Amino acid sequence: MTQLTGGAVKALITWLLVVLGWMVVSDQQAAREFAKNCYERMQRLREELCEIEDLAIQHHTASFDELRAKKVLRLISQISMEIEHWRKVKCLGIEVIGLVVGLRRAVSIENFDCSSYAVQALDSEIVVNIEIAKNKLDRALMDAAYRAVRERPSLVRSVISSVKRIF
Amino acid sequence: MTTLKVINIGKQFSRYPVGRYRADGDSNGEKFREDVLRPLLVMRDDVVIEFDDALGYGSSFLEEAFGGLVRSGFKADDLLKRLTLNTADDSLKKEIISYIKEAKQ
Repeated sequence: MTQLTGGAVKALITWLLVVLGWMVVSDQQAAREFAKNCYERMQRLREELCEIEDLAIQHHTASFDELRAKKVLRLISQISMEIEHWRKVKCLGIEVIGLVVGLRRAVSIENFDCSSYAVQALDSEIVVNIEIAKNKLDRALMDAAYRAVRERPSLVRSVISSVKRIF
Repeated sequence: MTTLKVINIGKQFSRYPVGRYRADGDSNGEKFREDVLRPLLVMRDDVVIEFDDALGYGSSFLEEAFGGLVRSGFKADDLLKRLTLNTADDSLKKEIISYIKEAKQ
């Protein structure tokens, strides 16, 4: 009887270790996938940000083009929504909200509308402010991309979170 | 006054709310403030604004529409209590709140 109970306990422990091992491997795999996705999307967002900067500077330094103006605003809105998504999954910090506001503001608070539009020089304050706002947001995206790759969960953390999930 | 009114900018005003003044086209901030927001705020206690169906917002539009309310006599604190800004984009909300707080009466 005692031998039977001992065997059952051993089988149970073995089974638990197998499940735990599988969960730890899955956890590490999921974390790797998330980090990879996060890195790739941050790099893609940085490219989209460059496109926004180019279009915004063109808007302020060439003759007024309503379609281009709308395209810039649509791209800023899209990038802003996606940044918000990545912020909610903790890939980006809360400071990016202010950086997105800074970008939209630099691009479209002044000299953006047809009634007050004037072609700007490449070294004008408006253009420089767009470049500064873009650089700040770009830096935050770049930091997030490299943080995602660097800060993978340790094995101990995966074990602890797997144990928590079992019990 | 009655209680609540929901206005969806993208569906009921414009897909592209851009421009500060009426001279900037049909979807400008001054028009939104004077023809849509102000009448609602006069008639209703609370106004809910849905932002996410528009394709993009210009800061000049947002500043004129919301900062302009303060310049035209509404109290910033009162506006912040009565307006509910519904959007999945927190940067939009933060920007609008900053315009309301920063505008001088």
